[in-house]
Amino acid sequence: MQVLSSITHVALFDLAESLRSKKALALLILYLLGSIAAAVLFVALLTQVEETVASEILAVASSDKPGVLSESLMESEQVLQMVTGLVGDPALAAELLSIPLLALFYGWLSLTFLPLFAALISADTISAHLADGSCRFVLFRIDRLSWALGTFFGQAMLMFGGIVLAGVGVWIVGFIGLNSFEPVETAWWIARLGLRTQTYGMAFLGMVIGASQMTRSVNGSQAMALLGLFGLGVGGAVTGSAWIQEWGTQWGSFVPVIAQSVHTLFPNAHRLTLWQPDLWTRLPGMLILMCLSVVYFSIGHRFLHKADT
Amino acid sequence: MKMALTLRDLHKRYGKVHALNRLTLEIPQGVICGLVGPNGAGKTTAYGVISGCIRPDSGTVDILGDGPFSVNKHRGRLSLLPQDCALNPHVPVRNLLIHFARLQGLGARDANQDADRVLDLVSLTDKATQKIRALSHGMRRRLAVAQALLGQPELVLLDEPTSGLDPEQVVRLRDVFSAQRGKRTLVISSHILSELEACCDHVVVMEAGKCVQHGPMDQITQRGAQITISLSDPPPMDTLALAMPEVSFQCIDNMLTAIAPATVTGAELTRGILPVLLESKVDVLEIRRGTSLEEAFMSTRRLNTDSGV
Repeated sequence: MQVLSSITHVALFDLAESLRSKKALALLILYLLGSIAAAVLFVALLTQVEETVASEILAVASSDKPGVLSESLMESEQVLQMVTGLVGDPALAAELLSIPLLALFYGWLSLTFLPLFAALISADTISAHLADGSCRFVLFRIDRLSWALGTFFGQAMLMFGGIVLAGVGVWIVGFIGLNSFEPVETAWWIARLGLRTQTYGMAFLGMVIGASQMTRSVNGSQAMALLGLFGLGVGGAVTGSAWIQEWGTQWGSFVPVIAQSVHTLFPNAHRLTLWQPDLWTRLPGMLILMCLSVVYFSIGHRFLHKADT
Repeated sequence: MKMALTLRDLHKRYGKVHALNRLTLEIPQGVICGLVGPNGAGKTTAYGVISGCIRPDSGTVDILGDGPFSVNKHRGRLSLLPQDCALNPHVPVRNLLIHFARLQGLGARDANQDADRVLDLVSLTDKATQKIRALSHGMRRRLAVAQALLGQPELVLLDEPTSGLDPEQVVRLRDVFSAQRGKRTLVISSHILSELEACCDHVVVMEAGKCVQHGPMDQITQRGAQITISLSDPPPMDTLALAMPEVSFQCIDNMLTAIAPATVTGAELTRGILPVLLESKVDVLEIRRGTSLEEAFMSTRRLNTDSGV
């Protein structure tokens, strides 16, 4: 109980401290503005596409209600077949097409940019305290693992704050810019996708906090987090590519199998799973993402555990 | 006598530098102990090792009879004021103290009350709601002292607690430290030896990672066995030597120093010397028992330099 209490105190304190710092606030605001800007661009693009489709393909007058035509298109059989071809799973394709367009865009946006947001906002969380020695005021009061875990959860809450802010921003853009906007359904989907994004982001946060525990240099931990992000992205893409499946067989039939196994160690291997409609289909991917978070965090913690602070 | 702190053969090396070189010492419970030594003597490293922040290469630490530092055993019983460590700048003063107190295991109400108590001790009550970045260097130092006095620690390690403080605050803190005598063990490192002399009853002298001298303040400063007398004229050295053959006399610039063996008390020394001086019509301008801690320290350093320590 004492350990849980310590972790909770550190997490809440870390969250409050981050929110008080200008850097975290600035990044949160930037993330919100970025999401709003992206949503505005998306709505503008949607309007333009609808106008083009209406005038050049369907040869009808364009609608003054952006989103209406797109929603109709999403319900067509042709689009369903096209998306099924892209994701390779009819159930998943149907699920994706049932999501309001703006919520779908929000999900994609969050899954794409949240890892970078985590790296920028949290990479120096522990290293900064090691660098300026402020950790010494804490480490005779609680153990290193509780401190690091508390910081991790504090940053996870901060990340969730970013997800919520971005969701609200995107929803407001849709509310103002889309005439076919369904406020309740979109909000419901944004909330659901936000939670799934949080699970995905936790894996990256584990890596980022792991990097932060490996060095007492603020710049060093930031560089390591960005390199880690790049490594996870490239590693996941390479091990999961069709190219390695074909090329690997030249070296032996075991290579594609190994590549496939290694692929599961990268968060982006489980990205598509998060869109699955059925919880039980989604759950293994979510659990693996949480495990990856723990593994990345633990690798970094090995350094903090042994280091002189 | 119960020991608050026992160090045996502690060794810590950074590359070719031996920060601690088989450091062995004992500090009894309830004393206020001054830790003195030149820069690089290993004082801060010793504090780091005792508080578990630095891992020694070899040797043993016993804190309050419960072995080396462990959060489980020493949480709330050991407290530390580290040297040159930053306090979280964005946090209000009182919030930080409450946070530390909670981590130490105090309940919410006790933590609030204790934060107010220690703020009052270091005269920072009026700054309680200010953020730490708004405090001056001296105020931050006082806040760092305050956090070390939270709760009821049995052993408090203070590394340069008064550096950067104005004289009034130095005196005030000295009183605060003196008031802890008998209640808890304080180990205070400082380069201001007069300050240590005024409040400590035990001294440890460190040099090159070793303890070169330790014991009660009276013994180190030879208060019981040495007197220094300032005279108007040169004293009759032969007569003095005849009157007290067991005492060693030395006179430089009409400053007579008499050093007695352990068998002669300070009072006996004074009673033996003064009649001789009065008889020889030499005016006594000033009498001082023992040496200052500064002189004792310098004398120890000279001895060690001569013997190649």
